[in-house]
Parts: sequence; structure tokens; C-alpha cells
Amino acid sequence: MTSAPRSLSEDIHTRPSLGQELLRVEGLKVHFPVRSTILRRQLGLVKAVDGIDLTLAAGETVGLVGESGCGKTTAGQAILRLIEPTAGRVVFRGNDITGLSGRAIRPLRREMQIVLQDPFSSLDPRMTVRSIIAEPLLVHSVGGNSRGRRRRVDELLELVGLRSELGSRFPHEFSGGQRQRIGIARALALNPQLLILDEPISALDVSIQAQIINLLEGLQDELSLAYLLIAHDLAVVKHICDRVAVMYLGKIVEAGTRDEIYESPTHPYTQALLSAVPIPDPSKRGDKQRILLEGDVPSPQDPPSGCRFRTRCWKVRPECADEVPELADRGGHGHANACLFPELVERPS
Amino acid sequence: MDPQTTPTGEPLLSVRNLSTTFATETGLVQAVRNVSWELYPGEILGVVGESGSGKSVTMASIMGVVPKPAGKVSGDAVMFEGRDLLTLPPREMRKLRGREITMIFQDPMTAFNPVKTIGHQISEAIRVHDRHVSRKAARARSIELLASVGVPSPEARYAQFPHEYSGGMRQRAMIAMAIANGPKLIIADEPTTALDVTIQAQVLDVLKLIQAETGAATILITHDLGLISEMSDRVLVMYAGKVVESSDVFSVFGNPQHPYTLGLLASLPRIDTKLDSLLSIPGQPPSLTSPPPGCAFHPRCELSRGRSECWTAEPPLVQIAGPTEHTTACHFFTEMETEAGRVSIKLGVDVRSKGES
Repeated sequence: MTSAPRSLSEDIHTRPSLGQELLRVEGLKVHFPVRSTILRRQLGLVKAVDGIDLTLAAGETVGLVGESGCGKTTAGQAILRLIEPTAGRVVFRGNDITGLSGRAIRPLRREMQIVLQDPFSSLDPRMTVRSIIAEPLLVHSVGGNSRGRRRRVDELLELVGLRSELGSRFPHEFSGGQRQRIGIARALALNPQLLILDEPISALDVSIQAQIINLLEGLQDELSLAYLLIAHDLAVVKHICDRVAVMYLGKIVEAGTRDEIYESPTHPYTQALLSAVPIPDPSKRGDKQRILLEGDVPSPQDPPSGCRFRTRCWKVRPECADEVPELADRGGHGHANACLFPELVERPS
Repeated sequence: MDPQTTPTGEPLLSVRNLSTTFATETGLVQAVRNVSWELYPGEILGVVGESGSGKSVTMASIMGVVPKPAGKVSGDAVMFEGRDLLTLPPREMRKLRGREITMIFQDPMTAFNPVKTIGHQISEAIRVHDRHVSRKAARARSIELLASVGVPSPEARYAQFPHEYSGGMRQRAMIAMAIANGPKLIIADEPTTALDVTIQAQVLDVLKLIQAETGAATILITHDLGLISEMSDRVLVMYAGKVVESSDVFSVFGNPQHPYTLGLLASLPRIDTKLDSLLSIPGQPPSLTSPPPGCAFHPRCELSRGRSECWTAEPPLVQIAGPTEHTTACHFFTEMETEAGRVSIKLGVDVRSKGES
């Protein structure tokens, strides 16, 4: 790759047709140095994201699912370049954005926005809802004069199901669900093509979660948005996503369509993860074989050699310690896995 | 799985007309509003509700740990093995807590003392209730307990501090401490909410095993309907400080008799079945400083449709006709079958459990 000054192609702001590739992530790595407290000597490296590939088409929802510490949030932030990737490429509509300067990347920020998990800490408590939602318009000098911006904010409030007179209130006057709606309105202000949803509903009450899920689905249809959903809740991911990638310790271990992942998982980790989800139907108590994984997730500072899942895998063989299994359709199951010995398990769903 | 029949015999715990209020700057918060229920020996009672539904405050009231003077507990009685916990002197209550009634909290990082070793804290829990146990014996017993909840190399782990344990291991240690004195009642308040799903599965496994071994009655408080369904024998559904429905787990999931319970089931993304859409419960949980008049759920209720009974009269918790003990607090519960049909059409499937009900 050359590092000559580049700029984004002009047509980046035109909306792509549905199904056209929007985002491509290649070999993305994010490593954080661990330093000693006084001399700042480097003691080690936390490989939070260690080489992931991902594509996302216009109007599509892809789920990035995994347990805490697997690197899914870091991956999302590196895609937006809120964290600088250590290696790899992020290509948005044909433009490699990894080497771009802060100024050059700015037009792109209009097209990629993020909704954060915690609706309590992600809204400035001293700003009114109206100014929170209008801020992206101001920063990017879009939306015209103050009257134009006002109109746009009213439109956005209505879009996310809030009355426009609520705009003059402050975040603390709202419940968690309403705050998440405000966060979504802010993310939509610049009319982006892609939203990264980082655990958008996990901080909300059960009865409110469905409201936000339905809102997100409705907005996607209305505005032909693409979503990258980062979540740990497998049921939510199943409900919303077209395609799913399962992460473990900084790597994607299995990727495929929703049905491939949920109905015929091939990686032992995916199988264990799915089997561990409690099912709200007591008559199905005896039905399923729960796979109990032993131990905890190893430290990403010192991941196991070879397959990173091998220390908890019940099918582990000596080869697993030597060879790093790349993500590929091993075994001809129709979708990619990162297991040397994949076995398809049919699951009812 | 054998269907849970209606429990018989003397209840271990009987809560009668319990209310708890908190005086705050913005007014009196009615956290628990006149609830009554029973817990029978050896059973797992699941208590489900959203944040602010009063489930944790109910348990704090039973344990006598509601912060005073802001909090005020009143009621007819909380009978535990012939003793009324509401009138028991603090000294007696202290003897009970940690021995006969123990608790497992959501966040074991804050529940343990960070500057004392895990082993020290378990030993302390043993010795505080029985002065005759020597340090050595307490240590041996603690190690035995840690081993029984699946903490690997318990001898070495005994001398470690809470921060040296992972989340799952800390929760196991918490369970070990909870069973140290052979309790008759274990209250587990969101015991796995802070854990990842694979670790949650491990901890639940331990909890089930321990429950079966000790035979202690267990109250499991959670907002997760999946956990309730997999773990409990009987279920209480709480909303806005009240019990709105209760029955055995198969009846609650198979034949919900309160629109809130059905609403929760219909709003849940499922891993075990395909839904056309989710039906969200509109609005948000009410303020407990001024709960809605009549039925607290009526502003969000699809079944009410603005009927005046719902906002003028408070529905009592009544027993519905049928073979099982099943109570609901809804004026129009007889319409629940039709309502469930309507919901099923929208979702594309019947989300009610098809098993024993």
C-alpha cells in the first residue's frame, strides 16, 4: 500500500444500493502495550483484536458476538478509528481509511456513527436533548441555519418516537429507554449509511429492550441503514442479524448466516455458547445437552498457542497447540470456522 | 422433569402483607406494597421483575437489612419457623443471618472484603456463628467448602484475596460462604447477572448441585425469564412493588394469567424458536412515589383497553379455577386465553410453554 496523501472518493455520500458492499475489514489488529508503572518499559502486549476479517453490505445487519474481553467493542471502535488499529485495513465503500489523517477522514464520519451501551454516561448531562442531537450537525456544518437544524432535530425526535417538546429537557429527566432513543437520534442526525451498535440494549430493562429492538429494525427499513451489532446476548443477535461472527479472545472463530450459526454451528465454542443460554420455556428443560466449559477465558496478554480455545475445549487434540486454525470452511459445512476438527451439530430453532 | 405439584405442608417462610417505604427528597417511595407469599422447604422460588419492581427490597425487608431510618418496613408478619422476623430483636436476627438465612449477591467483588483473604472470610462466617470451632477446624471446613463448589486447588485458593479470583470463582466462593453454616434458606439476588453466559452456566450448575445436596429452600431473584424457567419450581412475578402472578413454573410459562407476564414473554427475543416480530410492552415502569391508581400496570396494558375497573379498583390477587395453585391480580384474567391468541398471531408462534401446564 502506498502512503501518498489520499482523499475519499466524491461519491461517498451517495447511498449505495442494497446489498452492495459498504464496509470491508481485513486482518484488523489492535494491540495495546502493557507498561510498567514508573519506567514505562513495555512488559507485554494485550492482543485485544488479533486479525479479524469482516464485510458488511448496505442495508444488512451483521452481529459480532462474544463474551466480555473477546475484543468485540475494541474491534468496533477500531473500525471507526476511535482507536488506532495496529494493523489491517478498514475499507469503506472502496476507500481504505486506515491511513487517512484526521482531517481527511472527517467526511466519512458522517457516514459511520455509533450508538453506545450506557445511555447514562454517553449523554452530556449539562446539554439539552436538542443540543445533544444538534451537535453532530454543528460539528459537520450541515443542516443549514439554526431554523434548519431545529427542523432536523424535530424530525429526528419524531423518528425515534419522542415528542419534540421533550427536546428542551435534560438527559436526567429521561428513563434509560428514552435516553437510548436520544443516543440513536444523535447517531442518525447526519443521515449515516452505517451504524455501529455497541450493546445498545443490554443496560435496559427487559420490557424496554423490545421497544429499542423494534425501533432499530424499523429505522433500518425506513432509512436503509447497515448495522454492525456488537452484543453478548445471543438471542438478541439471532433476532436482528442477517449474518453473525462469533469472537473468542481477539479472533473470529466462526462466521456465517444467522441460520448457519444458530442451527448448524461447527465450532465447539459456538456450540458451548449456544447451549449455555437459558431458555424461557420450562418444558424444554430436559431437551438440550448443556455443554459446560471448564475454567475461564485466558488472558489476552498471553493467549494459548495454536487454537486459542484449546484450553477450554473438550475435543482438544495435540495438534491444536501447534497450528493456528485460520477462519475457513473446513469440513465443507458451507460456512467458515476456525477449528481444526469441526463437527456440525444440528440445533432446533 | 417431573411436574412440580402444589407444595403441601408447612411453609418455611410466610410473608404476610409486607410493605416497605423509603422517605426520599422527592417523596415517599412505596417499594413494596402489601405483598404476601409463602416459601416451602426445599423448593426454589423464582422471583422475576424489572428493576424497581420491589424484588430485592422484599428480600432486604425479610433479612432486616433495609437501611434505616429512610426505609420503613411494616406488615402483619414474616414468619420463619415459628418466629416473626419483623419483631425479632436485632441480636436474634444477627444470629439468624448468615446461619439459617444466607444471601448470595450479584456482585461478589463488592460483597467480599477486598483486604481479607477469601479463606479468612469463610472461616469467619463459620466461627462467628459457632465459637467452639477452632481456627484449624474452620480452615479445614472452608477448604472443604471451596472444593465442594468447584474451586480448583482450594488449599492455595484459601489464602488468596478476592481480586485474585475471577468473577465466576468469586461467585463460587460466595456460594461456599452461603452454605457454610447449613442454612435453611438461601436468597440468591441476581447471582449470575454480572457473569458471562458460559460462566453463568457453570455457576448455575454449582447452585443446582448445592441446592439438591443441602436441601435448603432457595429464593432466586432475577430479571431473566430464562433463568427462572430453568431453575425454579414456583414463580412470583412482581410489578411496581406487588406480586401480580404466582404459580408453579410450568403454569406461569404455559398459561400466564396476567397481561404483564404474557407481555414479558412476548417481548423476549428467543434462541429456541423463530419469531416474526417482538411485541414490546409500551411505556415504562411507573414511578413508585406515585404509582398509578387501580392496577399499576393499566397504563401499559393491552388487555385493559381503558376499561374503568383497571384504574379505579385495585385488582386483588385471586386464585384461578384449576388443578394447580395459580394466583393472578388482574380484573380480566378470564380474557387471557383470547389475549394469548392475539399475541400468537402477531408473533407467528405461541410463546407460551407447551409442556406441563
